[in-house]
Amino acid sequence: MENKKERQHSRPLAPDLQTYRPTLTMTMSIVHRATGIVLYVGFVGMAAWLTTLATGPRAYETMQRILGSWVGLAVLFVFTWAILHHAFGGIRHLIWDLSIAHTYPWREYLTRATLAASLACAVLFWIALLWTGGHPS
Amino acid sequence: MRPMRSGLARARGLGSAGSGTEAFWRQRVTSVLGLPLVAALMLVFWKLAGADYASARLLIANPVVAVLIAMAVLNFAVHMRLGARIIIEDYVHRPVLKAFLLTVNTGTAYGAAIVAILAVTKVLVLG
Repeated sequence: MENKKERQHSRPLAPDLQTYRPTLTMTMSIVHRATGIVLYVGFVGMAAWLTTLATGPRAYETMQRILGSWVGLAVLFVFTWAILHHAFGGIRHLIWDLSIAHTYPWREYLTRATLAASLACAVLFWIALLWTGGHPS
Repeated sequence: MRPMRSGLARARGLGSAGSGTEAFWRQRVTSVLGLPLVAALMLVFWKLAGADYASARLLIANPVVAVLIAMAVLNFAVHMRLGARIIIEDYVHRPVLKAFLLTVNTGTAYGAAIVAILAVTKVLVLG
């Protein structure tokens, strides 16, 4: 239906991801969306986990075996980081919504801080969890 | 020139979409509410690590934990549905595909939320 040539000539197109030189804040904006999608999947996973708990011991233990495998633990770690990163990134966006730290260099510091904090907290959370937390099995 | 729009429409100040900034504002409200909720969820997650069936049931059957999970599920279902909607609207421009994905998004977000809340309710009631 669409005439490609006509579209190219008659419609001004907004510059998009391929046009701009990548910047840190832009990259982190994309990461914020990406972690959001990851957490969408994690949410469905959590619903599945709760369902196995409500179903009975056999379903629950199968689920725990999958989550306790190396792949399962790696996925859980990624979810932990995604939660923290999306939360810290969310705080950053809320700060920006209040018109604070919009300007250089504060916006860059803030963006670096959220990345560093999410990585550090995710690693610390799992070190502490594997060391002391939970139920040893 | 006499305006085509009625006085009520002008007072509401909404365009042809019939809605304004509700989605934007709801995304902010659920993000602020989500911060304490996600912190509490991570504490529950911590307590659950490696738990056997009986102790996991015991923890989720705790009314405070059950209510907390239900609140978080409701909050994040709304939040993630809006977030995914924005991504779909930004990148999918074919009308039928867009409508299809937006419908799938709503069904998945609220469907998973209902499943999660019913599961928690069952554990809470049966112990």
